[in-house]
Amino acid sequence: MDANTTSTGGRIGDGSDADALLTVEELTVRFDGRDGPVDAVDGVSFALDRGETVCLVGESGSGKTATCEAITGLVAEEGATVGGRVTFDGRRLTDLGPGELREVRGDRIAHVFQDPEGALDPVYTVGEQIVESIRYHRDVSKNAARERAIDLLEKVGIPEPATRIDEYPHEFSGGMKQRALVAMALSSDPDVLIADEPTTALDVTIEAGILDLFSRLQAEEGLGVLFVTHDFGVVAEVADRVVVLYGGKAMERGGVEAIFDRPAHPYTRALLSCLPGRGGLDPIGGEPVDPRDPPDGCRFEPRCSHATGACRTGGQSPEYAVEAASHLASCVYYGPDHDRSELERGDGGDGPRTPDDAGTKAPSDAGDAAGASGFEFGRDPSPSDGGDR
Amino acid sequence: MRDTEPLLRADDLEKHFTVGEGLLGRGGEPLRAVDGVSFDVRRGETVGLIGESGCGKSTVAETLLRLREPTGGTVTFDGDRVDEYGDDELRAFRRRTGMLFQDPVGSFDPRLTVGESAAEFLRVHGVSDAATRRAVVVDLFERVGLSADHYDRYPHELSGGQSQRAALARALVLNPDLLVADEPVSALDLSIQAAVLSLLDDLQAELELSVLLITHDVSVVREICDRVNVMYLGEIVESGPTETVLEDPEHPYTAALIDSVPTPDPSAERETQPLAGEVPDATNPPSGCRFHTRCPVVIPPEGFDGDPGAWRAAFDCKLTVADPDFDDETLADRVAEPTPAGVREAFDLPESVGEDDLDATLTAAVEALADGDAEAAREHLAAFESVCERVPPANERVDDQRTGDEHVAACHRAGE
Repeated sequence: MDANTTSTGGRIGDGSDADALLTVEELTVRFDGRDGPVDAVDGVSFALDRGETVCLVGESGSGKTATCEAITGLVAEEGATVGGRVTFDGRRLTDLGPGELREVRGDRIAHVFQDPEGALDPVYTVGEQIVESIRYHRDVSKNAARERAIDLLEKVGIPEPATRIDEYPHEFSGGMKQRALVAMALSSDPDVLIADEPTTALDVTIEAGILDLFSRLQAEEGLGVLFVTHDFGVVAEVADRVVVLYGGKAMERGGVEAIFDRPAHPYTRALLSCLPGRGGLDPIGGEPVDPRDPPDGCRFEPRCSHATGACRTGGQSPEYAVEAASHLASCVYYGPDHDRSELERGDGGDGPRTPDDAGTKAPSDAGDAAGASGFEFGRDPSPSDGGDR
Repeated sequence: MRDTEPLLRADDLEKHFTVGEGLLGRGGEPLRAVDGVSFDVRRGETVGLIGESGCGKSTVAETLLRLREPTGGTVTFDGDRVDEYGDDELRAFRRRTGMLFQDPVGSFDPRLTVGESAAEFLRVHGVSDAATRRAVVVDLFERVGLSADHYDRYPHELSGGQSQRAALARALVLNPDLLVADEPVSALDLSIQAAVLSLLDDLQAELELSVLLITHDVSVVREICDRVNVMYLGEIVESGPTETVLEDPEHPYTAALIDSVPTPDPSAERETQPLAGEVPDATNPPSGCRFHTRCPVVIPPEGFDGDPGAWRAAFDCKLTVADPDFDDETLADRVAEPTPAGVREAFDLPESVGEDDLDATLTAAVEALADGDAEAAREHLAAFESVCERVPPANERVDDQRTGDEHVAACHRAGE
């Protein structure tokens, strides 16, 4: 595996991180796979403060879920090995045992997950589940807990909370379930909310309401929100700061305006230019990085149109300041030995190595279409194609 | 375009399911999954069918292809009635239509290589020579950006993007005229989505395919569809050329759907509030315009001259109170303080809607609610009525004069 991690974290002129509510430094998460260890997260650093939203954005396999689940030790319970340092309110979480971590998790740091269907127990009312959660963290009477549960449901925008508290999860729509789960997460008055793709399973008109809810909670409650998503539209809507992950590495991080208006890393640039609906679809060639066999150099190098020799060896590039010290890119072009202006000249470097299965080019070979026409057909059709919808 | 007749046309297509029989005891009420849907797909054209979960878009596809039998309406394919096909004609129809699904891995038999899966289509349709089958499939694999090597791989050995390419090759193996793609890129990562969409776009042009694309994603429609149909609760509420519909939506639901999509631009602000409420139950759809329970621009009665926002608040209160589940108990829960002021606060009701008659009626309703009498309040609030609630809107032509393309919206406000 990659032993050459030389990333220097966020300390390049980035002194403010040290005082943040939550700091993550050089985080690693290693799973023991069948074919040897897999580094799902490999040296990721960022910080989160009260009243701000940091988005971890990336495609599947980028390590965004493993990162956020490592913070409170959830991945460790799944058998992963966590390295690096996580500091929360002056406390080193990475040094805590499972029991102590459980006290932090769900209390001062609460999680909201993607699938609201699976997160509620169908045989208890929504209210019973919130009351249980409140009483798990606070020594209060059942009645007091119920009052608080009603307040919480109201806060997250559930109409007629005093009635709906006695309903079962199946009586709630998907959006309402997710709101109830946010209410449950808030039941311990957390300082930090970690939300992993909380709107991905929801319809877009419902998603809009949930995103509004997160913005409101962050502003009104002064919550620090760590928001995991694959959707750049969502990032633009909720983030104050952004960490772009790819193959377990932070490719780029910075303020939301910087990331969208002045993306620095070739990966971020490529991703932003293949957002559908913004005009020319400009796909990134190749396939996502295989975590079992990552490239020797930059994780994105095999798909990068600017890759040069320096990108192919020596592990992931350190994070270099792009302009402001708060905007960092893990790309050699921002280091001392390269000229970043070359990135503006279209395809610099030696061009991408085209994997045999890249195939993003239009099929070039014209001619008879499927080649199947002209055959004689005659037997039973096989209409059923399976699959879900 | 070889022919002016559309390749595929649905007229008043309807698919009702019987639900609720048995334990829940709600038998008899049909679920109106697709409730009178008409649209067409011309030759060589990509048409989008967009809507949120539960709107019936996938059921439309299944019913069109006779994977489910329609309960009403007709489907015409290349001049023939699909709903009247016998077995042989249906078999021929299946050869001419390919399908692509959301989950590419799950749509392959795990025990066959992806190449064998695709070749199986050729075999059951009468290509008996294995070498020919392989050659046809390999040729298609290369067209969709895979290599001949992929023929011998199993589904689990391919990445998501590669499996969707293989599924596309399989859908095209019988050289169909029509491809029905149901959420073909929803399960894929962004960078892979873009690649599969542009591949689909290129193949469509090259093979002169007609494509019916079913999706929940406005940006996918924007990218590759020539025309789009917007569905809400079993009905098409708006249809027209993609650019016109997306840039200048006529139906408030279309506008809300477009505006709900988070824009990848941190300085952009949403133009409107997120839609209130939830999609209603399709077994008992709202009267009149089905969107009126969530619509931000419900039409006040003719001659109303007061404050539309205030009127809307009263209308919302009426909808809440009119819900069959709303009784004295829910009322007591909703209203913390049983006084007229407390009721106005609980329902966000204004002091005045700007018209004396209606103000008096509203005051009477508020007093009834303060007394805990939901039934009396319901009667008073009936005065806040709207054409949107009473009359199902007809399809209005709202064509852009410059292009002259057919743009239709089912909204009482259409064409205003």
